[in-house]
Amino acid sequence: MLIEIRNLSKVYRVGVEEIHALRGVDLDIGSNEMVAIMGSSGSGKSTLMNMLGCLDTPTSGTYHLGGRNVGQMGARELASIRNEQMGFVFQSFELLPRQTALQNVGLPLIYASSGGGGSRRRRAKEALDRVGLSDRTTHRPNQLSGGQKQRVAIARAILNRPQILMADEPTGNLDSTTTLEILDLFAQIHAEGQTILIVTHEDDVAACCQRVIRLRDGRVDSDLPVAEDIAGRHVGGKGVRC
Amino acid sequence: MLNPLFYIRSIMLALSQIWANKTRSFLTALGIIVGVASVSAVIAALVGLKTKVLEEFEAVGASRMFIFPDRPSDAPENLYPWEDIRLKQTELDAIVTNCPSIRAISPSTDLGMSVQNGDQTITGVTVKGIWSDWHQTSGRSILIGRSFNSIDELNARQVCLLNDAAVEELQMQQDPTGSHVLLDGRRFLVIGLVETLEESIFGMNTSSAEVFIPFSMAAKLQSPNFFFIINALIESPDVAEEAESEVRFTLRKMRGIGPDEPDTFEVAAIDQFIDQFKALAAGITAIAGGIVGISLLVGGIGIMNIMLVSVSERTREIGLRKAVGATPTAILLQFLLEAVTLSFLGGFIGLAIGRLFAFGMTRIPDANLEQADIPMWAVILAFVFSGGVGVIFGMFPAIKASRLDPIEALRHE
Repeated sequence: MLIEIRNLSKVYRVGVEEIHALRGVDLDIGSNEMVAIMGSSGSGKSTLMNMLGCLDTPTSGTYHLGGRNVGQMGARELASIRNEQMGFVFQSFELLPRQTALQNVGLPLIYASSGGGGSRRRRAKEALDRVGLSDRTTHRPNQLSGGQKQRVAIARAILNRPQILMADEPTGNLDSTTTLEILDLFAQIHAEGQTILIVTHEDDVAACCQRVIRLRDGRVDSDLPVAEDIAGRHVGGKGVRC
Repeated sequence: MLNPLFYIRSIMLALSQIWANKTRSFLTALGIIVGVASVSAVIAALVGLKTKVLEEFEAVGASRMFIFPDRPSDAPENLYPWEDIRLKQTELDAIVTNCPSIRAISPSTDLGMSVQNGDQTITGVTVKGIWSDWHQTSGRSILIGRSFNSIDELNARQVCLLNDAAVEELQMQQDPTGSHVLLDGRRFLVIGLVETLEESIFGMNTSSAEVFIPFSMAAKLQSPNFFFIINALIESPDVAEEAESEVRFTLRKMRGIGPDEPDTFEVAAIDQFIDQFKALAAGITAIAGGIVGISLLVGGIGIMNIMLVSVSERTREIGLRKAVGATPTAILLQFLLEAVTLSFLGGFIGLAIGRLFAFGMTRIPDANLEQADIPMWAVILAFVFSGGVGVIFGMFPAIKASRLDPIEALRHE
C-alpha cells in the first residue's frame, strides 16, 4: 500500500478548548488510485489532507507513506518529502504573481537537493507541455485565465513526478466548462499512472474519481467505490458529467 | 545544502521585490543611505585634513622643538606667578651652552609697532626679536642681503629685516637693503629680505607685513618681564628624546626644581603635535562613527519594520513555498538575503553620495580639503556594516517567516 493510516488522531488546542479534528481514522490507499475525500465543513477533511500531504503531523496514530513512518520525521525531512513525493493543487491556484508560468512551474526545483541546471528548465517545459500550456511559458499569472492558472499549478504539482498529487478544492473557483477541462486533465494524468487525491464538496467532481471517502466528525463515514457511492444519491454541483 | 539556483533565485527575487516597491524600498534604505553617506563624507574630510596637516608638518620639519613656560596642570595660578615661570635670558644662555643635541636655537618675542617709510605708515605690525638661527629653526631664509650677525646682537644695533608684504605695503624698492624705516619713531637700517612662506593652516600665515629685529634690541624695547619662547632645531629626529631631556635637565637645574616637583615649562617637539593631531583625528572619527552607528541603527529598524510587513504580506507565498518543499532554513535565508540586499543597496548608494560629497569638498577653495578621499578601509567598512545591519535586523522577520506553519500560512487572507 502506498498510504497506510492507522488510528490517526489530531487534536488542536485553541485556548483551553481541545478540538478533535480527527478521531481514529484508518485508511489504505494504493498506487494509481484516484480518490475523492468529501465531507461537510468541520468534518476533518482538510486536516486529513494536511496529514496526507505531510504538512502536519498527527497527535496519535501512524501514517506510513511508501513504508516510511511520516509521524517520526522532522521539519526538514517533511519538507523534502513534500518536495519530491507530493504535488499540491489549491483552490486559489497560489501562483507567484511576478513570476512567469515557467518560473512558477519550476519553483519546487529551487528547493530540490539534486538536479542539473540545464535539465531544470527542460523539466519545467515538459510539465507545461503535459498540461497543454507550452505556448504560455512567459506569461504571468495575471495574463492567464482561471483554468490556465490551475493548469500551471497542476504542472508545478506534477513537475517532480510525485507519488501523490493532492488537490484541495481544485475546481472551487472555476466555472463548469473549465471544471470539466481540469477534470479531464486529472483523468489524463491518472491514466499515466499518477495517484490522485481530491478534496472536494462537489458531488459531480467526486463522481469522476474511482473511490469516494466521506468523513463526518473526524471519522470515516463511508468509503465506497464511486458507483456505489453515487447510487441513489442526487449528484449536485455544477452539473459536470465526466 | 541548498543548490546554487536557490541563491540566484533568492537574490533575483529580492531585487524584484525591491524594484516592485521602489518608493517603499528607497524610504527603507534611506536610513542606511544617510548613515553611510555621512560617515564616508566625514572620513573623507578627515583624511583630506590629515594628509594636509601631515604634509605641513613635513614641510616644517620633524626635528623642530619649542620651549615655552607652562604651569603644571591643575596647579593654582598663584603658586606659579608668571614672572617666576617665564623664560629668562640666563636660562636661554644655559640651554645654548648645555644642550649638545641642539643644532640651532633662537628665542622669539613679538612686539606690535608702527612702521614708517616716508609717507607710508603701517600700524600694529608684528615685530619679532630673533637670533640669526631663527631662519633655520623656522625654515625661512634670507632672500636678499644678510641676517643679523653677532655684532648686531651684542650691540643691539638698530637693524631690521622685512618680508615682501612689508616691502610692498611700505612701497619700497624690490631690494630694500640700505634703506631706513622708522619703528615707533626709531630709525632702523634694513639689511635683508626674509622669505614668505606659503599660506599654512597653522596660522603661520606670512602674507601680512612682518619686521624682524635683533633679539637683544627687542629685549630693550619690551617691558622688563617680557615673554619669549625658544625655537630649536635638534641634530636629527633620532636624538629628539636626548635633546628634550637635556633641555629639561638644564631648566630644572636653573630653576632649582626638586625631584618631586613638576616642570614649570614645556618642551614640545613636532612629533608630539603630530601624535596629538592624530589622536584628535581618531577622536573625531570615533565620534562620527558613533553618530553613524545611531543612524545605522535607525536604518536597521526601518529595514526590520519593512521586512515584517513583507513577511506578513507574503504569508501565503511562504505557505506555498513550504508546501512545495522549502525547508525553514530556505525561507529564513530567502528573507535574510532580501534584507541584506536592501541594506547593501543602501550602503552602495550611500557610498556613492559620500564620494560626491568628497569630490565637492576638494573643490571648496581655502578649505584645505584638496585631498579629501574615501579610503579603501572605509569603503569595506561601509559594506561590512550595512551588510551586518541587514543580517541583524533582517534576522527577526526571517525567523518569523521560517517558523510560519504552512497550513496557517496558506489559509492566511
